[in-house]
Amino acid sequence: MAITIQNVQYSYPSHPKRPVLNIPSWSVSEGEKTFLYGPSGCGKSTLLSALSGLIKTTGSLTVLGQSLTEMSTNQRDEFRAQNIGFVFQQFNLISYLSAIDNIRLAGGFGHRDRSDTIDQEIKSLLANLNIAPAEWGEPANNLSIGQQQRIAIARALINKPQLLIADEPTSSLDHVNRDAFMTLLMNIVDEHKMTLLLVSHDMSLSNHFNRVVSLNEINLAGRRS
Amino acid sequence: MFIRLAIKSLLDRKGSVLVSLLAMSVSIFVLLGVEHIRHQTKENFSNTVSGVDLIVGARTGSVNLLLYSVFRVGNPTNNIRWDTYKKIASSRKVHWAIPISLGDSHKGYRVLGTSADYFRYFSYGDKRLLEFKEGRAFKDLFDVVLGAEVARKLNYRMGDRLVLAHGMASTSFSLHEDRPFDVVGILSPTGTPVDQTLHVSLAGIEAIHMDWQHGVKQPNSSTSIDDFDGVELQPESITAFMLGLKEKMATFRVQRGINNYKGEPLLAILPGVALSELWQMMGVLEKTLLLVSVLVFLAACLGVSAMLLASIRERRKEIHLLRVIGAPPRFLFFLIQLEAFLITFLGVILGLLLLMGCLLLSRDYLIETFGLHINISIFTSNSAYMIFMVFAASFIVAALPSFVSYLRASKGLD
Repeated sequence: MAITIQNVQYSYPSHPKRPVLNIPSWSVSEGEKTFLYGPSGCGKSTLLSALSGLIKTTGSLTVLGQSLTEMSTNQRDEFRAQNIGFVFQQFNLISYLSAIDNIRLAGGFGHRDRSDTIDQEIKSLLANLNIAPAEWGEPANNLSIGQQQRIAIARALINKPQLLIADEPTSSLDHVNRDAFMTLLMNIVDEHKMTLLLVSHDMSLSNHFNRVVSLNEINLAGRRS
Repeated sequence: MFIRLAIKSLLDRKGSVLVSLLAMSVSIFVLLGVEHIRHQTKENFSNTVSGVDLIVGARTGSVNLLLYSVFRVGNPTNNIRWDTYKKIASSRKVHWAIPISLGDSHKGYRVLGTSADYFRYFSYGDKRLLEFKEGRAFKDLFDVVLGAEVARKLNYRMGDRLVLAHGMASTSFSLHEDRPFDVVGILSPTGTPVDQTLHVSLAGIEAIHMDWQHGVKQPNSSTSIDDFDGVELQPESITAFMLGLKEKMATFRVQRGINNYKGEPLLAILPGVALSELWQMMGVLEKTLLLVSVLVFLAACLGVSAMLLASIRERRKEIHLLRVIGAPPRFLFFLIQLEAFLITFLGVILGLLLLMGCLLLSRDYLIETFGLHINISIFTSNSAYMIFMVFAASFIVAALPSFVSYLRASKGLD
């Protein structure tokens, strides 16, 4: 299993008696492409934070065979850097760093910066994602949203993750770019044999996935809200 | 990559960072400037006189006597009779005596009437005797020996002729025009008030004041320069004198003897003791200045801290992104600390450059106005210690935003 959740609960420290997540049981198989949807405030982002180890939950949360609930903060950070790739809707990149530096930074956290071939790998990834070499050194905020999304995919791939999490990655894109992005994403996921968990409220994306899940079905706390 | 991230992050916030940097630079300029000038002033004063056992003048405060006789600051309250000087100077306990006569000037620089022993016995710094860069000591009545700074600033050379003025105004209308002096010697720089002094013989002082009464030249005076030929001029009084004793052990006994001298009210001081008194008087001012400069620096540090704290809010999404790609909380802690360090580092560099520039520009002014020779080289163990403290303080004040960032990251709030 890529993800296994048992009795996971989480409340924000400011509202300790109001859980945002309350998931009795849920799992995602390895290599599965899962589309997770739900209304705003149902806990989608909180679930992604829990799955990436950014927040510590109660219960049992296992990702790629590792129990996140038993790890320390540092262990979870290292695990996330090495095994999970992320693509977001916006703010995917550090705006003042170039495409190369954004990817190299992520490579550093996954200890890939010690590799002699990292620069070559970054350039190869950017070239494969159709980013022109002239734009590799440009600060991210000088690039279009579409270019930033593709660089974010390159960054997510630099540490060769087994799990890719995408949080509303197409919300800022028009129809043409959205379709192009989804095709690219699915090709990459297939090529690298990764598990994909994509969160979105855009149901039209669901036809790219072999599993579609409503968060309200699995999250009892979200159901109440 | 870590350092590049911090540098680019700061560059991304140029406006607020620049203001913090300027505040930091100015505060470091003030802090190090006050400390450097304080240290240099002390060193300057301490170096001005050495090897002099006692300074004797008319009865006044010991600091006042020290200031006017050695540092040419302030004015004497009264003179000493020449026969009193001769009597004390001829004591068997006295090795040498240097008479000092003040009261005239040349273009704002003080004229010191003295004897040739001044060039033999007066020492400064680590008991260094005066040296001639050019020429020799005065021999004739109207010979003058220039301090290094006087020669340099007024562009005087050997053989030049100059006129002394009565009193201390930089533009005096009471000139001793009829009795000009010839430059016969130029002293090597000493970094003391000697550099700003013109040295003439006591007889020369007497000669130029011949036919003068109460600071005004008598209208029907008839003495010409030729009238002084073969005449031995002796002053009636002098301003003060310095003594070197044969035995240091006798210093206090001689001091007591002079202070109890029946002939006229005299005061003998030990230069080191008077200097300590001066530092005691200056102590409160010194501490106040240091306190103000420390407070200015702390204000700048708090400014940097506030700027970094505000930046954590502005950079919430950036910090979240760093966390998502695997940055541990300690990475964020050290990133904020590194940003504070870089601002402080640049602040120190700019502050030091500003200080060196200001010292360079104000050098002549400080020498001319206060007789202070401030060294432009500010790299002393003291300044190194202060810079270390600056970095330590910056680390401490940056700890708050760094810790906030660390804590938020640890709790998954970013």
